Amino acid sequence: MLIKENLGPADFERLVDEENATASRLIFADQTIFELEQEKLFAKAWLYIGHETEIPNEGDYVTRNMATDPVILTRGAHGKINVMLNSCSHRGTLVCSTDAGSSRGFICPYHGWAFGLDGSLKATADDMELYEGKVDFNTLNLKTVAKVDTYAGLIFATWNDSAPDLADYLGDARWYLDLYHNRTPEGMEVLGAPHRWVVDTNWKLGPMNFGADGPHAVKVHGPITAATFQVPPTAFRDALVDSPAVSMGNGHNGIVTQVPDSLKEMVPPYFGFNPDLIEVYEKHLSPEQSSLNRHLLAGVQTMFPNFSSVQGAATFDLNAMPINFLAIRVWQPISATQTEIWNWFLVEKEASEEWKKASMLNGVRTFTAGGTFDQDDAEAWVSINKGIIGNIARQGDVNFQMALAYRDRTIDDFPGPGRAYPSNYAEVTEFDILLEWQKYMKA
Amino acid sequence: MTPAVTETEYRELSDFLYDEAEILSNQDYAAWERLLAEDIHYLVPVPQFMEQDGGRNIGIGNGYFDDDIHSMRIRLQLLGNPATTTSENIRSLLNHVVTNIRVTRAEDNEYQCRSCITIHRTRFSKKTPTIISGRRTDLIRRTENGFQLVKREVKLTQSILMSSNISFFF
Repeated sequence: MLIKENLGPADFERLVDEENATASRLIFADQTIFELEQEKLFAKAWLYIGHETEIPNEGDYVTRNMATDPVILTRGAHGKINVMLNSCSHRGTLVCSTDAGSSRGFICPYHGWAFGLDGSLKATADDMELYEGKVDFNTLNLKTVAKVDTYAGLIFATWNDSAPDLADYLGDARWYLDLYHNRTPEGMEVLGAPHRWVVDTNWKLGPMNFGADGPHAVKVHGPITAATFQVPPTAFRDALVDSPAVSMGNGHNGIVTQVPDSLKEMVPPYFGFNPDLIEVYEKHLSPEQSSLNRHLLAGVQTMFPNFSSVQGAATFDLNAMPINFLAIRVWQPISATQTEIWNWFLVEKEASEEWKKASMLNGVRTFTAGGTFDQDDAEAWVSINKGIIGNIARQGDVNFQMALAYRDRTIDDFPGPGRAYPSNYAEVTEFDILLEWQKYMKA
Repeated sequence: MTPAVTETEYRELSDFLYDEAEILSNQDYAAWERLLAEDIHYLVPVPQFMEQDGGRNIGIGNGYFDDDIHSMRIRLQLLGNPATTTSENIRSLLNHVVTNIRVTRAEDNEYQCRSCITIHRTRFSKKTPTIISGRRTDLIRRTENGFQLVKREVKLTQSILMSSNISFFF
């Protein structure tokens, strides 16, 4: 194990080799690096907390995690969104022990200290006068985050007072979030409770895979794609090889996989999108954004550090029309070698109840612990953990050197902002997540 | 009053559940598919910790599994062939333990069976067993070709799945 005190900027400079497009396996295996990530990354960056539609009314709350810290997300008075540490300011007990609910506040189960929806202390164990004025109760509210803000219904928060505003933090990535989260006037809504499962691997594997890893898709997801779409594996490969990958800036990355030219005559525009809403999409998004959605096969992206989205069309009945699902997820770090995945499904608020259900079904059948796509990814990630954890193995690198072939080949006339590369196979955008990670760890 | 079943019926249904458990542990999905009715509904909801005086549900709900015969056939086709699954190539070692079986008569030639399922699973990448259990409510139909599963709902006793995937059935 590395000695924490001795790990400085020069070490992190070495651990991710930008020039060579490799990274040390230590960053996926070492617990000291994991603990430094808590201080240098997760306490500094904006983190995804929940969706506005999960807490529609005053008093609604859900319990969440910000990396290793439990928090409560509430809708307080006048619609205000609050995020506070789920830990009593008296002795540290969880003040809320449910997944979701509605309440006027939270009462500690140990001594009965009571807190409002904004975390403000309302009562102590007994008469507050017993403290004889010797305690400043203003210092005993639940600890709240430094900043909380939303974009397209997505609620983010940070513990960092000097973090940039969320709009600046997301920056150009907002243009790409719009493709999935902000394409109708009403926006998206959450379909149900989060799916949660624990994978024995480092948390960074998930954001990288969704940032996104094109080449794994044919190997791992070729069979399910072939079984449900009846397309030859070569068509799937062609789509991935010839579709753009985008570095959106600030470590946000993704791919926008397009229907390949070989299938354009067979696959109608807006494949899998809600036909009732196509005009609405075209009106709500810019022509440039619409040009990417019109022939979208799949969209996968990561907002740095650990929030991802995936959209795709799916059908499990060969006689039924393919319908899009949209899944979002957080890759919560538990330890250097354990990650808890939180996964939600979203749909347009404007969609019919029938469409919402069909979209939900496609989501749960594809991208979750039991999903026909996800179950295979997780096995590969666990296998990486087993493969790199040993003394000799961890001295090696993980390799992103397809980036050497692609990193200077940006698409000049790409419709969206950021730097676009001509292939989902480029490995440039996945590696870009580690370059952003390196910036935080060196700071 | 729920109509009672005869001892013979109880024995028949219990045997069906034991046989089915062995098929699931063996991952003999061609055999399991023959036990599924065309109108099968296989549902595994997400357990939640909620206030006892109600709680608050969000959205229309999304189970870990919510499958019909079409999606089930695709799942079974993929998991049954090592060339089309990463998660079960190499296969997990599985043991499905069925207990607490209770049988009541439902409509016509259908029975409601409640049982507990405990699954022990190890895999090449995780040699310590993962244990997951749930309470099953099944609707089982007597047909000319033996019993068939019409509906199964599994209430898991874990709100967080301590497993990297669920590439098996309850």
